[in-house]
Parts: sequence; C-alpha cells; structure tokens
Amino acid sequence: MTGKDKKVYAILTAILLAVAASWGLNGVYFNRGQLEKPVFLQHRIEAENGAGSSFILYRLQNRTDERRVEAIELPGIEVRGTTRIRHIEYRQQTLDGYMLEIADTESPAAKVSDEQPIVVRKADVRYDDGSRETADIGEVRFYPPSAAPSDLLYAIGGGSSNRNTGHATLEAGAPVKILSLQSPYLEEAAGKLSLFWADSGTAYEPFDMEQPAGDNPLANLTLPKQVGKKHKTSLGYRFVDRDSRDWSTVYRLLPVMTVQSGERTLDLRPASIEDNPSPSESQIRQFVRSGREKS
Amino acid sequence: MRKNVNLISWGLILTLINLVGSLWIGTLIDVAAYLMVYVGASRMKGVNPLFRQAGGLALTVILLSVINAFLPGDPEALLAEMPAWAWGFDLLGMFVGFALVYAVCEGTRREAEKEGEQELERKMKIGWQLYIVPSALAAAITPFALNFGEQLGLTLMWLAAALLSLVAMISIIVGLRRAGRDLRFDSAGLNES
Repeated sequence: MTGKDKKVYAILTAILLAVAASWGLNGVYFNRGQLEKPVFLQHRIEAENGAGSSFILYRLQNRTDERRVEAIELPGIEVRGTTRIRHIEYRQQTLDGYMLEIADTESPAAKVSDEQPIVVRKADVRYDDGSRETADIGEVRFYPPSAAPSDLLYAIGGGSSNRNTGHATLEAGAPVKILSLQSPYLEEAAGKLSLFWADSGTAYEPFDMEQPAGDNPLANLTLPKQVGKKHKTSLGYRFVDRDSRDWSTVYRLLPVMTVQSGERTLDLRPASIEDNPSPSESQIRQFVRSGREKS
Repeated sequence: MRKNVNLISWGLILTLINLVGSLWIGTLIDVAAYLMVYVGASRMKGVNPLFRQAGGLALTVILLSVINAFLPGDPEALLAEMPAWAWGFDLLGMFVGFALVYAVCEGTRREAEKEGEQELERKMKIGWQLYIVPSALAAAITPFALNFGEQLGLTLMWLAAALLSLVAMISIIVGLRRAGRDLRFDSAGLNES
C-alpha cells in the first residue's frame, strides 16, 4: 500500500468516524426521546356509571410500537366499547384519545352514590397481539346514573374549539334559578379552568381570553342565575395551561348544579366540561424526557 | 483484460439499477453484482495491487450483503426499527463500499497515468472525488431523519447528495468502459484471461 493509499484510507476512516458519530449521536438523541412504555395522561374525570355515559382517556405511545389497543378495561366497571376518536402524530410518539362507553349494569359494584363514587385509578389495556398491561390513568370518579333527564334544566347542545374552550347549552323546562356549581376537581383545576356564562350565542369572550385563569374557576360565573321557561343559557369554559407540563393532566368535569324551581331544589349534572389536550412537539419531548429521568 | 474491466463495470451498473436492494431478490442481485466485481478485480490483481484490494473488498461486501439479509425486522425498516448492532453492519457495509469504489477508481487512474491517458486519469480522479463527497454527506444526513423527520431542507439536501453520488458513479462506470477499450493493462504479472 503506497503512502497515498494510506492517506486516502485514513481520510475514509475519518469519514467513517464522522458518519458513525452522526449515526451514534442521532441514535442516542432518538433513544432519549422514546417512552420506556406507553403511558396514559393523568386524568381527572367525572362520569356516570350507566348506559349512555362516555368519556375519553388519552394515551401516549411510541410510533415504533406497532401494537394497537383493542380494548381498555376498568376494574369494577363494565365498559361496552373502546373507540379511538383522536389521533395526533408527533415525531416519535402518537397521542391517542380513546372513548370508553360505559354499559348499563346491575352488578353490585355498580351501586354507587354521589357521596361515595367508585374511583378507578388503573386501566387494563388489551392489545391486538394478545398482550395486556395495567397502567395508571389518574382518577375516574363514577357516579350513579341519572334516572332520567331532568325536565327542569337539560343540555340541548354544546361545542368546543381548538383553543381548548367550549360550551354546553342548557334549556330550562320551567323558570329556574341556578344556585351553585360544584365539582371535586374545581379546586385542583384552579388556575387552569375558567367558567363563565356565554349567553351571547356567538362568542365565549366575556373577558380577555388570553389572560391566565384566576385562582377561582367560578370567579367569572355569576350565581345565582335565573333562566326563564324555555330559555337557553350556555355554560362556557376555557382551559389554559399553568405551565408547560400542565397539558398532561386532563379534566372532564360533570359538575353538580343546584337548581331551584319554586319550592323544589335539585342537584343536577346537565353539563360536561371537557379538556382537549393538544401539546406541542417540544412539550411531548419534555414530557418523555422528564418521565425517563424519574424512572 | 478488457473483459475483466467490463465485468467490474457491469457489476457496478447492476448495483445501480438494483432498485429492490432491500428485498431478498435485491440481495441476490447485489451478490451477483459484487461477484462480478470480485471476479474482474481478482483477475487483474497482477496489474495493480489496488485491484487485489478491490477483490477482497468486493468479497467483504458480498458477505455483508448476505448478513444484511438476515438482519431482524422489516427489510424496508427505518433506522428507528433496527437494533444498534444492525446499524453497525450498515455502517461497515457503507465504508467497505466506499473503499471498493476508491480501489477501482485509483487502480484504473494509475494504469491510465502509466499509459499516458491523461484525460482518463483525470476522469477517474474527479469521478472518485465527486462520488465520495456527496455519498459521505448523504450517509451522514440519513440518521437526522430519525429526529427531525421528513423536513424539506434535509430531504432536499439528501436527494441532492444522492443524485450527485449517482451521477459520479455513472461517470466512474463510463471511465471504466473507456479504460477497457483504451488501456492495455500491460503491467508486470499480467493475468489475462
């Protein structure tokens, strides 16, 4: 081998090392962005334990994981079906929202009360390859189902926007006064959630939508509120992340509204308040990395 | 000797037109292609030590191609789906491939220089340089797709590098065909078949 050949092979070796460094560093960076296993976001969900009840559980999974979720089961709760209804693709992960439909059940486990709801913190995930795993989901509180929709105040529609705002439109069957609104998660959601009456019909902006949510989610909700017979009112809501990790806690509130009509006072749950997480690429990466550092 | 140079150039042409390189049939085509390079280069080992090296490198590429066919996962797999050791084989195969192209180009260039074929000498020299720079660049860019996705800038840069590398390889093959036609390869130890 001549001196020139040696020089060329030395250059080739340098190229190999540079290419290997590029591959190696990219490989390390890639591996640091991989979840060790699929994770559910931390949920704070209120739901009724009966037919017609449904809610969404969000789950983050590596894109290289080819398994597909066939069913999500909750211990003590009869789940009728699992349907993927949201799918967001990120560079290394996918964020999927699975809607769980609750079945009507007469089992003893279904006997719950508002004071002592069934609280579920784990879910069993069944994959298309037959494998299963149990995962932490946060918290889902199941209340007894309503016997029948109330004729005093009932939902007739609703909607949400991609800015994580939404509304539930309610109609009164008789003149009512809404006295209060309560949920066990209101305190925890303080600073993230704002509730307000959005009665203009066109906008949810009774206040500056860009400002952070205050410490009291009900601060902009004037109570008591009168609603005339066959009149409508809209309960608006807005979620604003308190910090860059806040998106990973997902709320779904079914608040109790105490409603007075004449001499009657009733506790109803006519409206649901739904959080729709849409994290950015960098928020996902930060979430994955902090999860790896903790484990 | 012309036949041997043509065997090498046909081998290289076969690697270029092997568009199904990642499938089983593609591996067979690759093996056949590098076998032609090996046979051609081995028969010219007496002409120039670089052809002997080219023969050895071609054999290594054949071995790596066969191993690659048994690597786990989908043959069309992205780097993300391959284990780290399989990356090592990919890298090694790439390096040996570069070295093989160098040995063939430089061996031919030196013969052209000996026989006063200055234009051919320059062609092989520039062909090699034109080949190695974009090929190495494309190899270095490839794993960035893992972390930065199919970004337009990266994709365009990779495509430009791959295209340049292809053009350079075509130029090298044209040079080899010309060498087979114009050079006598009459060095000591000639091993004409």
